Amino acid sequence: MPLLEVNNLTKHFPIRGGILNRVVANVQAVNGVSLQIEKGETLGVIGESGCGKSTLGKTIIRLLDATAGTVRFDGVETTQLSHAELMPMRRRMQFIFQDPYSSLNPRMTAEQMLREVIRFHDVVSAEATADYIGELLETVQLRKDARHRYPHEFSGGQRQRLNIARALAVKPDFIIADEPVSALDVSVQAQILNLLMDLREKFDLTLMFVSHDLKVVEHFCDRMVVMYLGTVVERLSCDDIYAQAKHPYTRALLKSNPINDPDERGELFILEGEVPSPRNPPAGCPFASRCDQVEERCLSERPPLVQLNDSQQVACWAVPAGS
Amino acid sequence: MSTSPATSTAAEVALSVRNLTTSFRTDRGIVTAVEKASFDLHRGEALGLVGESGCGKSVTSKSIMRLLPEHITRYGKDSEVMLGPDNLMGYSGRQMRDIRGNRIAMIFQEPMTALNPVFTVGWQLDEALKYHTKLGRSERKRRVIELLDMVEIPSPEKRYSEFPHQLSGGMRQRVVIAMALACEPEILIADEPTTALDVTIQAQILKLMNDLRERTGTAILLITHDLGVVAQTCDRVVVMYAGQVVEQAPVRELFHNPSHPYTRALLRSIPRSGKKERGKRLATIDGIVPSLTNMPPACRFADRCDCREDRCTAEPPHLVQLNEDRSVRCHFPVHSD
Repeated sequence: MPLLEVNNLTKHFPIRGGILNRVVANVQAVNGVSLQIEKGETLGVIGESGCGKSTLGKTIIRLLDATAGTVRFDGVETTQLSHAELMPMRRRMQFIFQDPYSSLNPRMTAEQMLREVIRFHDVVSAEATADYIGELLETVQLRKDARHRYPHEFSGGQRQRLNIARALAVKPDFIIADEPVSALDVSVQAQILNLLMDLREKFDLTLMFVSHDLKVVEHFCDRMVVMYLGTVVERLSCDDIYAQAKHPYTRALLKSNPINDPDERGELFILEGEVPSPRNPPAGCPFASRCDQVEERCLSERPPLVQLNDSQQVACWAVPAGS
Repeated sequence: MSTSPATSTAAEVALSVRNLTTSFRTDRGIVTAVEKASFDLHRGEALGLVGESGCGKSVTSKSIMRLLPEHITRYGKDSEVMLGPDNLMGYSGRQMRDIRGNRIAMIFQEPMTALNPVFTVGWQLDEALKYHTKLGRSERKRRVIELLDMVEIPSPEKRYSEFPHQLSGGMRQRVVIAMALACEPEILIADEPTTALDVTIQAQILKLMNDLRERTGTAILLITHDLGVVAQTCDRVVVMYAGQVVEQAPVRELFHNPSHPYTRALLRSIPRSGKKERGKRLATIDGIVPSLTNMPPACRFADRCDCREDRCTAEPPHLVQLNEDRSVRCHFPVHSD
């Protein structure tokens, strides 16, 4: 049984307007997303801004309430749980945010921040808390004297380490990391990715890694789902994405990603046009307006996510099942 | 300019930066953000200026444009920014205004903040032409629409009277590029022009900049932290670390055969593609960038360097010319394998 099972998850944000302040439209941020994450696996969620990848993460963890669909975590359906019922689940699922600074309270020291989480969830006894904080800081490779410092006294990479320590404080099974290294320089990014890889192994963590950076996802994740305009267009293993990718959007993403080799400087691949508005998504395939293999059917009928083989699913009319 | 025979074979120099030192007066004393940076930008080339946050790459570009707050900024006495025969360092504010947007234009990272939200796209493009050219009103309008068309904005006549918020991020960056190109500058300084954009849009903008460079011969100084972007677009690269230029090389040589240990470490820390690489630990650079207020007296990278020797902490290395088009600031440059 997968640790996390998301079925047909939908999140719409209403737009109100007019003198009666009625709902005039919906921003369809996440539209019927289904995915599973096995225990111990790292799933990458990749897509461009506005594709709904962050909303998906926040809805799974119930920082946002789903409009429709279900989330089963370790067999428990969480979308309908009350606040009190949710608390034990929260201890098992944690979230790491993109911006390491704005997700830390500027008026609290590292110790105060960690203590708050540990005491709230009663992870260890009051007497053991101080030692446990020291242990956590060591786990994320921060110096012992870091505990008395405020967020502004840390560098960006150290702040992200502190965020990771806070997520780990409750001993979770599952962590959603939303662009955890996007705000960092490459050399610091490498440090944080190494740390996450070590921790993943040490604590047997299951991760959902939300990112726009293909290189990072390919390196760090076991499988990935590619999102476009609130839907999953492809799910594939990270083993050999360049050979495997079938969906025209995934292929376009791969080709527009600049390669770190001046010898492979080709004509840059250009995907024309822009993402349609999620307020009024097209009836057919969401990618139809930019796709070079578009057929008549793509404009009227939305392609379902079809299983190609054990590790791959594609939502595209042009990709025949079993290919 | 030096009289070395080597430079005569090189392409014509459009902009020459010599010993650029920029310091700021702060509460904690004088802070030097850029120290003795020297490089040439050749006509029609794309030069990448790379480095991590705080290395001084943006301060370098703003010093060239003299966009830093005058009352707290000090430039070194021997600092030169040569545009043709003229040293821009000696220019007055009024003289600089004739240069900016006319002979040297700049594109910033965030297109929304570079555009004025309360004026139409057409009005903002028109402003540069009104200031720098003698064209009449209808000629200017024709030119603005031509510019919008050149940066491949669909239905430019319609966009002319729209406001920045009505455009997407990619379209806004196109408008900013159109504005920068309005007076056909000799030099375009692009400070992280695609960092705020998605990859598919980034590819569109990079291609546009490449095409325009080929068509107009404008030299581009591309400031970025993204080595992938550099590999795909630049001819030569200047690497900065902690306020100093540490290496200069043609793009192929830099990627295949970096001389400075920092450049090598930086290249190694990027996740690589392929099944074999997956889940492997990435190479990192130990420690953090030294603080501007407390720079090591000798080599600034010494603390973090894996080829450090005694000399590195005793004596500051100078930027040494390795051959005609390569230079490195290191006592023990990495040799090719």
